[in-house]
Amino acid sequence: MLKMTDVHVEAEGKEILKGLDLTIRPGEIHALMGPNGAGKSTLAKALAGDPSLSVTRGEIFFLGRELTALSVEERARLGLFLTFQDPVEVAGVSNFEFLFAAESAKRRAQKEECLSEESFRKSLLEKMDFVDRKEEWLKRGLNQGFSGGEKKRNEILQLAVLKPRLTLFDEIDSGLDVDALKLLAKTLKERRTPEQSYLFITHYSRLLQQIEPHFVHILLDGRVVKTGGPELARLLEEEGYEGVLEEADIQK
Amino acid sequence: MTKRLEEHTLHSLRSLLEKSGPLAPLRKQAWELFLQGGLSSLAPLVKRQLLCQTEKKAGSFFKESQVKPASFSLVFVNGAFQPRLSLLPLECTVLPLSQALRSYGSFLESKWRKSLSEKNDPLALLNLALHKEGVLIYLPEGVRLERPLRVLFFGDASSSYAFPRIHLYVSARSSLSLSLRREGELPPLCTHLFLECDLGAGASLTLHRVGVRGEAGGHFDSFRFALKRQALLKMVSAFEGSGGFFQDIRFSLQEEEAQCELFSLAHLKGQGDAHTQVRALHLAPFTKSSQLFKAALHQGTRSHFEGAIEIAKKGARSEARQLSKALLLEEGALASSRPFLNIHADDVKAEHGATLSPLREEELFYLKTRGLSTKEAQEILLTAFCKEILLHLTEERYD
Repeated sequence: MLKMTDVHVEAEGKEILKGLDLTIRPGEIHALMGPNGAGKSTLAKALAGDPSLSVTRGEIFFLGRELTALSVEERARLGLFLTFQDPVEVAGVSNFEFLFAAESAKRRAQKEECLSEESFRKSLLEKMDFVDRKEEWLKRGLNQGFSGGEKKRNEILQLAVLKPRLTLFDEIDSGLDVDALKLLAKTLKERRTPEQSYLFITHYSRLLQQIEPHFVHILLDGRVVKTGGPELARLLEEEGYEGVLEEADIQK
Repeated sequence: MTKRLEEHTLHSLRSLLEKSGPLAPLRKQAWELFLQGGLSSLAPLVKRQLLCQTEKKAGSFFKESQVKPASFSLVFVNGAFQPRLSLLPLECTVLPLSQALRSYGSFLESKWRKSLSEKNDPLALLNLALHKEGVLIYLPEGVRLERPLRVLFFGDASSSYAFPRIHLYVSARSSLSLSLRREGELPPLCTHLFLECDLGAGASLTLHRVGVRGEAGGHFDSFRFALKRQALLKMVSAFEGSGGFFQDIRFSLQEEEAQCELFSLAHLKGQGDAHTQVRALHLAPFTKSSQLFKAALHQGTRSHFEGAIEIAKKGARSEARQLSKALLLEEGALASSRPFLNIHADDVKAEHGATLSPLREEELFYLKTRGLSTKEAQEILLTAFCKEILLHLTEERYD
C-alpha cells in the first residue's frame, strides 16, 4: 500500500528525514516511535503533502501512485488521511457542513452520486456513537472551542466518514486520559476494515497496548533504526530509547 | 468632480430650487459647501463608479406594477418617496418631507442646518442639496412594531442617481426594525442615501442594509444616529459585488447606557471598492459600542476603513470596541485601515484592532487533507469569514 525508499525531507532548508525506508501493506497496523525531534510528525505531514516540507530524494509510492506527484487533495481522495495533533479551528463553518463538503468532494472525485443532506445526516449520526449530544456537536463550528479530547474525537469522526485506506495518527493519544484512550482504541479497532491500514505516531506505549500493532519502528535522526513486533514497544517502556538502542548497538 | 455628475447635478439642482420653496436656501448652501469641499479623499472612488455607467435599456422606465408590497414597505422611485405605492403601518406616522414641513418644520429645519456642518462628508451635503421627496417616520412612545418595515429603492432609465432621504424618530420605549433594499429590474445605478435617526430613552432600532451590485454604480450612504438613555441600535450591512460601497456612519451615545452595535461585510469582486468611515461618540457614562467591519477582497478590489472612537469627559465607565478585518483572497487586492482613539475620560475600556491577511495556509492545508480542492477550501473559508456578519441578518418575517 505504502512504500517509502530512501526518503529525504527538508523543512526550511534543514534536512529532517535522512533516508527513511518504510513499507505498509493492506490491513497492517504500524507504530512509529522515537524521541522528540526524530522526525515523526515530519514524516506524517510530508506524506499528507504539507507545502512547508519538500521531499528532496527518494521514492514514495501509495497504492501504486508516486505520491509526490499528487496534490494534497489528490492524496486524500486516493485514501490517505492524517489526524492532526492540533486540528485548526474554523468559526463560521459547522462540523456538519464541513463533513458534508468533504464527503461530497470524495464522492465527486470517485464519480459517485452525492448523498442528499438528509441521507448524509442519517448515516453520520449512526457513526457518532462515541459522541455525546450529537446534534449540538454537528452544529458547532469546525473544532471551535473543542477541548483536546473533543478535537481528537472529531478527527476520528472524519475518519469514520471518509473511510481512508491508510490513516496516519499523529500523536492521537496526547492529552487523553486512560478512559478516553481505551475508548479511542476500542473505536478504532471496531471500525477498522480488513483492508484499512494504520500508522500510529506516538511517544508512549500505552496506546499500543490497546491497539496491538503488527510492527513497531523506532525513528532516530530521520531514519528507521529498528523494527520489531509489539514486544519492542513494551521493551521501550521498560528500558527507554537508550536501553533498546544500546542493546541493538545503535548510537542515539 | 466628474463632468457627467456635474451636468446631472446642475440640472437637478436648478429644477429642485424652482420647486423647493423654503428649503431652497438650504439646498443652495449645501451645494456651495459641497463644491468648496469637493469629494476630497472619495474622489477616486466616486469617479471610478460614476464614470463607468452602463447604457440602460431604452424604454425601461419604472412601472408601478413592479411594486407589489405584501408587507409594510416604504417605496422610493428614483430617490423620491412614493406614499401612494407604499404600504404603511398604522402605528406610526409616515409623511413625505414636503408635507412634514408643515407640522414638524422647526424639527426638520434644525436637522438640515446640522447637515450643513457635514463638511467632511461631501455625500451628505450632496444629498441635502439634491434629495427629491424624502420621508419622515415618527414612531410614538411605547410602540413596538413587530414586523420589519422595508424601505425599497426602485429606479428606471430616467435617472442614474438617486438621493433618498429618511428622517426617523423612534420615541421612548418604542422599537422598530428597518430593512433597506434595492428592488426591481433596474434599481438606481447610484444610491446616495442619507438616513438620520433619533432614538428616545429605551428605544431600539435594528437596521439591515443589503446590497448587491453589478459592474458599476453602488451605494454611497450616510447614516447619523443619536441615542438617548438605554436606547439600543443594531446595524448590519452586507454588500457583494463589483460596484462602489461607501458608508459614513456617525453615532452619538448621548445619555447613560445607550448602546450601539455595528456589523458590516463587503465582499468585493471585479473592480469593487469599499470605503467605510465611522465615528463613535460616547458622551455619557456607561455607554457601550461594538463594531465589526469585514471586507473580503478578490483581485483588483480595494477597501479602506477609517474608524474613530471618541469618549468625552462625561463618558466614564464606557466601553468601546472596534475591529476591522480584511481578507485578501487574491494577489492584487488592496486594503487599508486607520483606527483612531480619542479618550478624554478615566476608567473606560476602549480597544481597536485591524487585521489584513490572506487565507491562512494551515487552514487551507487542513481542509485539503480532507479531499477538498483548493477552490472548495477557499470557498469554505470565505463563507466562514462572511458568516460572522451574515448571521446577524436573521430571517425576517415580513408577512
